[in-house]
Amino acid sequence: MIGKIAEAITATPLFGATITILAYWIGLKASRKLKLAVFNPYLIAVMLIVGLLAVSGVPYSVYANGGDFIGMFLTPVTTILAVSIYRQREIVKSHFLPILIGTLVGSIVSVIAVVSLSAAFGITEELKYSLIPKSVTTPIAVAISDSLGGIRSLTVTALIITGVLGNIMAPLLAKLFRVKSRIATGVAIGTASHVIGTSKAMEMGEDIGAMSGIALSFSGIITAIFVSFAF
Amino acid sequence: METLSELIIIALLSLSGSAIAAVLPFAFPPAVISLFLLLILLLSGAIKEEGLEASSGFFIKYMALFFVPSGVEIIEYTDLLASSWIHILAISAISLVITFLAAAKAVEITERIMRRRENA
Repeated sequence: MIGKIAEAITATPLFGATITILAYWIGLKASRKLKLAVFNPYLIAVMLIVGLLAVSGVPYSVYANGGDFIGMFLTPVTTILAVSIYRQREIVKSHFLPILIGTLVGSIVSVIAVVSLSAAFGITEELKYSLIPKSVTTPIAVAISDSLGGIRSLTVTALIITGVLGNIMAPLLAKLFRVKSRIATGVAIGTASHVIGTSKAMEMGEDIGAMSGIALSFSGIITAIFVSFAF
Repeated sequence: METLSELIIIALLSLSGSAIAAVLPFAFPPAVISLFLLLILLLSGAIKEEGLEASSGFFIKYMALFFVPSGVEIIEYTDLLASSWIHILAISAISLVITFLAAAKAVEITERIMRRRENA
């Protein structure tokens, strides 16, 4: 009987969709208690679902029937980023040149660094393409990875590693490289470590957080443009 | 009703991005084209920011939710992860530091040049 029930539940895409939303909700609740960059709602949700699939033996493809439905919103979510860019237009106007040049140089250097390191370590082309957009905001990174022929999940993995490291190391890097300008600090954090780094930037100061937030949108767009011409 | 019309606008913009990407002579992420289209519509005043309040609030607040399935897919690549995790970690860490340095110095140099111009 239990087998019959399990079969009925997993037969519908609602199964994958529901556990995705449920796991994310648990992640949101849990991350409020565990105030560490590593325990963000996203990571908790992914680990819960991976754990559930591994323990229950439900194949990934069954989960993906519903998971893909949630993932379908990738494009609308990216589109909506335009609203947050639009909201920051006043700050962008007052510091346009430093933001533009900082994110332009940072994004291009990031792509070149990943390509050179990939060659140095001798990793596969597929993995290289997955890692190229790993410094930019998730929706844009996944879109770039798709258009290059990378693997979404590896892009997301590298992106989280980068974000978490950026979050932990940002104050240290600013000190190490003697970055005095608060605009430079914010732009560097947003360009190098997207949203996860930006949460640290906000702790370092509202102005640094705002710059980081703008830089992550700019670097996402610049990386998309640069990559489409370079590859 | 309001929310519904917002969703229609966003869905149509998303589809337009895919349509434009299909005819571009180079590969470009369709979603970023949709983003550009919406940004142009907002900047030109054709769409008011308030006109997208419900959907932008929801999508931005719960953005990470929509990427959970992409993350779960890692379960299909455990072999690749087992053999390459050290490379992924090293490349992520090293390029993070280089990118941080490049962006920070680029901003500082730009600011210095701008200040010198102002003083001159």
